[in-house]
Amino acid sequence: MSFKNELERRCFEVAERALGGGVTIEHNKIIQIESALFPEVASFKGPPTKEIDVLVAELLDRPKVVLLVSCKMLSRRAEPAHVQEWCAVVQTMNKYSDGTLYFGIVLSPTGFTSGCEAWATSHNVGIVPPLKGRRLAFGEETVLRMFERVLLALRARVRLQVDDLKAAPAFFEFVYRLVADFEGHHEAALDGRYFLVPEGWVSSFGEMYSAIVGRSVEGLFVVEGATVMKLSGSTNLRFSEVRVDFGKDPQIAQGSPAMPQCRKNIDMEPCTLDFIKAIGVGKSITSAGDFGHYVEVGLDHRFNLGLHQIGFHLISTENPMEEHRL
Amino acid sequence: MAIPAEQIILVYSDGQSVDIDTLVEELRGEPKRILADDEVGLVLYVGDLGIYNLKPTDGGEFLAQPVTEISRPRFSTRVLRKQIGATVLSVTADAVFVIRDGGTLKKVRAEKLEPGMVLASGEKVYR
Repeated sequence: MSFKNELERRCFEVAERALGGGVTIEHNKIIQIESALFPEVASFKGPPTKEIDVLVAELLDRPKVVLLVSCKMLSRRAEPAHVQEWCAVVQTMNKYSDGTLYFGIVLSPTGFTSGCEAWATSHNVGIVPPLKGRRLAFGEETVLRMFERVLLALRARVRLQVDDLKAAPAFFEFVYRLVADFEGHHEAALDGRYFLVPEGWVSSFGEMYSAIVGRSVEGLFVVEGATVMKLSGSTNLRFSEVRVDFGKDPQIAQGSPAMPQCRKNIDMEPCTLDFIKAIGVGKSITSAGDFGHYVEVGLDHRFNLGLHQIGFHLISTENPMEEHRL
Repeated sequence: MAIPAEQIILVYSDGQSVDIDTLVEELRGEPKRILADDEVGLVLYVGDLGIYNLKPTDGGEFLAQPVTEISRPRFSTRVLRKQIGATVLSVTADAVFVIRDGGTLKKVRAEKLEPGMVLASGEKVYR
């Protein structure tokens, strides 16, 4: 396989990795039509033929669905003419196909000018990266990751339903929805507090809560610089003040054992870890709150268990407080 | 448009409202529906479940739009409150609106949306 540039090579590798085969690169492929009297094919030269460089990815066998990708390695943002050209190519391929359905994507790591979207939406062609109403610059790595996400999702999507993607702008919007959320991801990863492990993905309080609510506490540990709560369903939560890791990673509980500092009741009297475990273990998580320097979870609507960097606290939430001191 | 989950009004074809959290948790168990589950978020195919998104109109009625995918970004985005026409929405700062700018249309992010702007749909931005 020969490649015209580094971007083309990398796109090919991404496509092969995502789709596991059925990916080819064609250079100077000639597309020919019978009549050039349509505005969409204005970029076709007379005689009405067009030479293109294309990354072809077969997504489905029956019905045959093929993705045509144009990789634009440009020093500036891609212009409407670049998208218009690809719209014409995809439209032509569909018009003269023998049952094969073609979708098109234009990939330009330097981005697109605003006029590109009108062509892409009206001709149902996807653009990567997305246009989001302000000039956003995505790194090439991010753009290739977007491309991979689109390929993986598209392969799964066409196996479920493909007809509804045919009518403009359904395919354009499908691609847009998959790549639009990349904005802010890099910043979120840098400032992240919640991380899903073992993947290491930046996450949110909401996802952390969904992962732990309803699970029962199976163990509480203190390791150097963090506290760990082992939960049912092989889920663990590790709190270290600046970050909260959660998920099904058994490595999360690893670390040198440390001397726990535990407290009980609203006035934070000292107590032992065994005391907290005797009450907390076996109870289910019913609520959660993040107070910055500690995370607190509700247990069976009766207790609040706090995870600090150096230990735990436990408070009864039942009233009157004096009668429910631990 | 990146509207947070709590602002999306989803209903089944019989008008019964959809609990998105419950639905997402149920559908997670059907791997073929998972279009993406990665560092960016979760995307699920729901095109065959007869789910519609109810979009409020100026007339106080709802426009039902079929939903094919439900997307759950994994990280949180800044949320703004905007009043567009008669509707007050919570939208993420990066949500894109198309506004009229003289005789042309222009894309504007929610964070740049200002009172007095008129959307392509004819709805006015109040705050």
